[in-house]
Amino acid sequence: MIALEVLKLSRSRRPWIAVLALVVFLALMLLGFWFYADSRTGGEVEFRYTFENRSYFNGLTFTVYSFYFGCMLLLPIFLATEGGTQLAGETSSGGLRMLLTRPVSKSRVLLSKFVVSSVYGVVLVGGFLGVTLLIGLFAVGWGDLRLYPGVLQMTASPQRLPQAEALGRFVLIWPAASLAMLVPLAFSYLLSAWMRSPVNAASTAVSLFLVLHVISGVPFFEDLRPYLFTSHMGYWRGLLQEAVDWPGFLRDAAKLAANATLFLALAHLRFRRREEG
Amino acid sequence: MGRGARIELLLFVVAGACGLYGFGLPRFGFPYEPPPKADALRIVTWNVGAARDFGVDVDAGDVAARVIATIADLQPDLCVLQEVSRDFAVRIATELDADRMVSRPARGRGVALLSWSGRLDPEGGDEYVHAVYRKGRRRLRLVGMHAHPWSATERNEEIGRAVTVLEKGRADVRVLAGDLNLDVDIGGGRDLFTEDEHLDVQTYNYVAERLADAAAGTGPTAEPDRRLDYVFVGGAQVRDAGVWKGRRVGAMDHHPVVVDLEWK
Repeated sequence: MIALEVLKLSRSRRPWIAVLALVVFLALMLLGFWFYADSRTGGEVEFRYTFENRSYFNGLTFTVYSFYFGCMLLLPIFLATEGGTQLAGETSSGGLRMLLTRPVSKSRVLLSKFVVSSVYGVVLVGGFLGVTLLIGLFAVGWGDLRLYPGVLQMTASPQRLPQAEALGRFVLIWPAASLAMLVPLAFSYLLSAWMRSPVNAASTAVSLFLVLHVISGVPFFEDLRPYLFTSHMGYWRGLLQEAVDWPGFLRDAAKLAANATLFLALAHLRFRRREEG
Repeated sequence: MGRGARIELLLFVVAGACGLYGFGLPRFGFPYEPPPKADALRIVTWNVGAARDFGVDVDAGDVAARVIATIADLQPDLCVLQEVSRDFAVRIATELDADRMVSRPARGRGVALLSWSGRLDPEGGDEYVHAVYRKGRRRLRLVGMHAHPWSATERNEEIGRAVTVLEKGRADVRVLAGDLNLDVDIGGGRDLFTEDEHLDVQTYNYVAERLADAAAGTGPTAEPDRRLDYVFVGGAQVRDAGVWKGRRVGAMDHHPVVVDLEWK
């Protein structure tokens, strides 16, 4: 089953569309980063009491910011689209009915698809992170990673990680960010198990993800935020602290794992009980 | 039970276990309970003013009673109040039997510093309250202020001068507390709304490189959803810190920020 799903995925155009979109995104980020660093630190500091300097705009900072935006918006959308088309796509094409004429359980069908989609997500996250680091190295140049508190909430206090240590942290960020991506993926599987049109399932998954993302950023929903998975998807930023708060980091990871598993369980329940017409 | 149902049950159990570990149980106690006095020092900062447009006099009636009751509940060693008239500060100090009260006119209404269970010596300062507090063998230098609400440049200058004052004087522990009006959305969760608040970010980081933001990550301190009130600390470990919501009344728009320091 898994080999079959890998074959289907490799023949699909969706992964290549995702890669192309990420390349365009990185090119734009590189341009924006250059202009920002040039204008904001090139002697235009306005205040006497400030921390601004040119040295912290390097390839590692570029990686952090590019990866952050990619993980918060782009990758979840690609994965929500992927998950949304899985069950609903095969239902719509009639492939699922044919598959189920064989001695294959619905559990096996769903879990095989989810495993392959998850591996695709992990590879996409890792590839994106690796390419971003390489672009940072060749186009900007590495150095120590210095982060300051600001609107993107990368850190709550100034942090400085030596280059080698920062690269080690990026290795840890890969699985951490991949876990975050499993939640929109599992969420889209739930919708895909509910709907029979892949277009409807994918578009609903993406729409609801964006709605939750916006809600988690609107001040009125301060009390609701902690319970939305979109509020925790950037938890991997905790790995960029000089002293990582491991208990806090693991609690955030557990929140995401809880969401992903719950969505998958509900998807499984719905898929197992529904009748294939 | 079939295989499919067993898989579902397993997934639900895993989700429940992860959820219980991740979300945990609600936290009770802090900051409503006073800290153990022997080895902790509690600092409270609170802008008790009200938005003028609402026409509510913060010194009057229920508002004054609420402010006094809240401070009484918190039992701080040091309390920095902003947008407080001298008369109101005197009333609080009298009703709560404070050892010492220092106030300065600032931003039209004033900043006040009240102390209990230690010795407070004022050190002057026009735009802020500046004092040295001694409790046991340790000496704490504190600047309490209400930074400019409208001009980022003015804020930067005022806060920068306050940090310079703190750094110059002799002390074991240094504290900058008050309504600094720096809104950089740290911990606010507004990931999508990345307004260019570059100016306050510069000022915040200037301070954060020198002193620790004790209540970082504990949520907004003012309505609507802004973090404007800070207690920056140098030379002491933060035992606990947080924002006590639900204590403002009328048109008040700030919550008290409470910080407990290790004090041995």
